[in-house]
Amino acid sequence: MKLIKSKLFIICVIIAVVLALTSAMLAALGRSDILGSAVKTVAMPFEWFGNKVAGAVDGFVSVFADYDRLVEENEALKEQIESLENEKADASVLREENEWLKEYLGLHAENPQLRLTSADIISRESGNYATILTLNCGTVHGIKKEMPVITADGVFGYVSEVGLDWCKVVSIIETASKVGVYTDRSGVIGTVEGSTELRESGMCTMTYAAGADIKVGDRVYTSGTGSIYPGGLLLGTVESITADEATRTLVAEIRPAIDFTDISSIKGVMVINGYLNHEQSEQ
Amino acid sequence: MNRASSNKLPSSRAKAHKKGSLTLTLTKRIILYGIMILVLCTAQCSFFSALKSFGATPDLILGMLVGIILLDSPSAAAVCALVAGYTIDAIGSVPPSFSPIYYLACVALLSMLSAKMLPRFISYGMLVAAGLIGRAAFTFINMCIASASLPSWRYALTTLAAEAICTLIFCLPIYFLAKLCSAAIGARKKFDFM
Repeated sequence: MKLIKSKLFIICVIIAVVLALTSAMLAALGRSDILGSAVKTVAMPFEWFGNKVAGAVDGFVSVFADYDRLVEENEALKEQIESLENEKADASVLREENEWLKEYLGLHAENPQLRLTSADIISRESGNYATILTLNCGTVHGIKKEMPVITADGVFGYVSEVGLDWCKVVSIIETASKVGVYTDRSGVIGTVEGSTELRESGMCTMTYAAGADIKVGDRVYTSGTGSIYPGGLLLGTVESITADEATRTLVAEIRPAIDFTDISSIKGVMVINGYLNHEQSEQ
Repeated sequence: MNRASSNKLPSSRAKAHKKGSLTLTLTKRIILYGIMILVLCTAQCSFFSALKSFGATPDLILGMLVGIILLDSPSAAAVCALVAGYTIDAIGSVPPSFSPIYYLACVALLSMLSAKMLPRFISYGMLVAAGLIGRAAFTFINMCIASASLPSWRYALTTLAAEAICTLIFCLPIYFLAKLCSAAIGARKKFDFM
């Protein structure tokens, strides 16, 4: 009880409340917190080091933890290689694989309208209620708020906060995220949003007009509507279609192209810091 | 007259000496606790958040604060709670910054619980376990704010249980780090047998 009545504690509480209100107000106004940015900039080298150590430890432990699985996987791969060697379609498989790599890894070649900045993940969220990454690029690299972030697999999310040499990224499976999309087979337009229920399994939901033609397995791409994402980026595939009991409408559950259940495996993140239509509309 | 001045001299020297030693202790506190806060915040957001041992990120700051309450003073823990809360939010969270309030509340409640406890490892473990209830409440509130609705009980319980287990496990070694700091500062309490 002594502590609660002490002047020091009361001052600390007042400062904490002021900090919470100030950060909320600055966020609402779209301004960045200068003190927070400074703290983040100072901590960045430590975060980078911590992340590298974590990667090393993870790699070291996984050799022992996954030994049996790796042996099984190795056997399976050997069999697969033997069967593939006997097949005439070997060359076509390689060609397809090559095309796939060109399409998704060589985003520069396939999407000349996109200006990309590659980045490394230096830290992740502090709690267990949101998927937030921190990348090692910021305003000095031309990064701004609400720039889309992608990987070779597909859309990851958008930049929610930017500092001098860092930025925070919120993923598409968060409820704060909304993406305008279309399906490749039938061209149905909808909106992909994060869902609390599906977040744990790394999935999100797609809402669309009643009676639209959507089937399980349809691939979902960004439509380019809205101010954040350019069109034509792979977001995921329709995993299942369920009825929303509250609104009595059908909702498609989307399995994102990026595996959000194993976020530590995400590598090669790129920030789209400009694309053709977006720049024209900005002008 | 001479006797009076000779009596005053040692007392003013003693006062100056006491003031100097207090300033030194305060400087030591700021440096050592500052380093500990920076190291633990970055470790929590980069190392532990990447590894996700037991499927969750531990709250290392809670362990540090409990250590400071037991081995230094609740007042020092309150200041550390404010700084650490702000730092952890700046590094690994999006606004608004509620962590300082949460950590201050933890310090207030845990210092009341620790009032009649000896500064020993067993007390530390018990206080961290008690602090996990506060952590669970904070995470649950954040889940509700993040999703703007109540999360499913299964999801909430699995996340909170994983967080509690890994927080308890990874916070235990922090006792020795806090003990090292408090010993270097010279703020360690009496009756410390372990």
